[in-house]
Amino acid sequence: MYSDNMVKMVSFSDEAYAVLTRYKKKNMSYSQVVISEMGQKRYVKTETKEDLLGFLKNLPKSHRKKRDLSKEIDNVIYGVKRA
Amino acid sequence: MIADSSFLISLFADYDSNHEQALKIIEGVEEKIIVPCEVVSEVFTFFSHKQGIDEAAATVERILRGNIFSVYFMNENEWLDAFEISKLQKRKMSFVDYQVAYLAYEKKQKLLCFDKQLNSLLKNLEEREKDE
Repeated sequence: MYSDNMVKMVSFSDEAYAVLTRYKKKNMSYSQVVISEMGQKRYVKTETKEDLLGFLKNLPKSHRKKRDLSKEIDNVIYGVKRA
Repeated sequence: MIADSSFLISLFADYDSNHEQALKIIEGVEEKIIVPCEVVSEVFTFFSHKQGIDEAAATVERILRGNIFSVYFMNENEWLDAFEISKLQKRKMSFVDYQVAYLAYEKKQKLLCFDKQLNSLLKNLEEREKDE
């Protein structure tokens, strides 16, 4: 824990500093920028549909028996059987 | 388009009998697929129990990073509307199913789903609207 007269030092990369500065408004601290803006951008969309399909088609084949998992979902997640 | 848990689980689990169909659907998709955040939670929980926490986290990462998916966070009014639907329909289903059906119905989105009960609920909502 930090007392009132202690300062926590955080270092940013040049790239992160540039991004924060872009979002920073007057009278805002950098930590306020992180809280208000960066949370929305934590997951940058980096995968295209082709990337996803490539990944799924190249998955190592499972040795599990094929079955309709939609019938198991409620039981696995909520521990209840479908009505 | 809105995806429910059954669709995403079929897509990511090659041992699901609908896996190839889910792949085919994705191949043909040109628009964003809305994934309610409650559905992401269900997918995580399912894979966590079935295949372990690492597989569950990796699957959710794929949904978050995939540019064809858009995770949707329901607001308070939408949540309450889904609750009203649950009271009218009186079907023994998870509340997440009601939320997904409500979003598909309200936003006039095609539902990507292999769950017969959920498809039936959405059909019922659409038919009620026609009758009114």
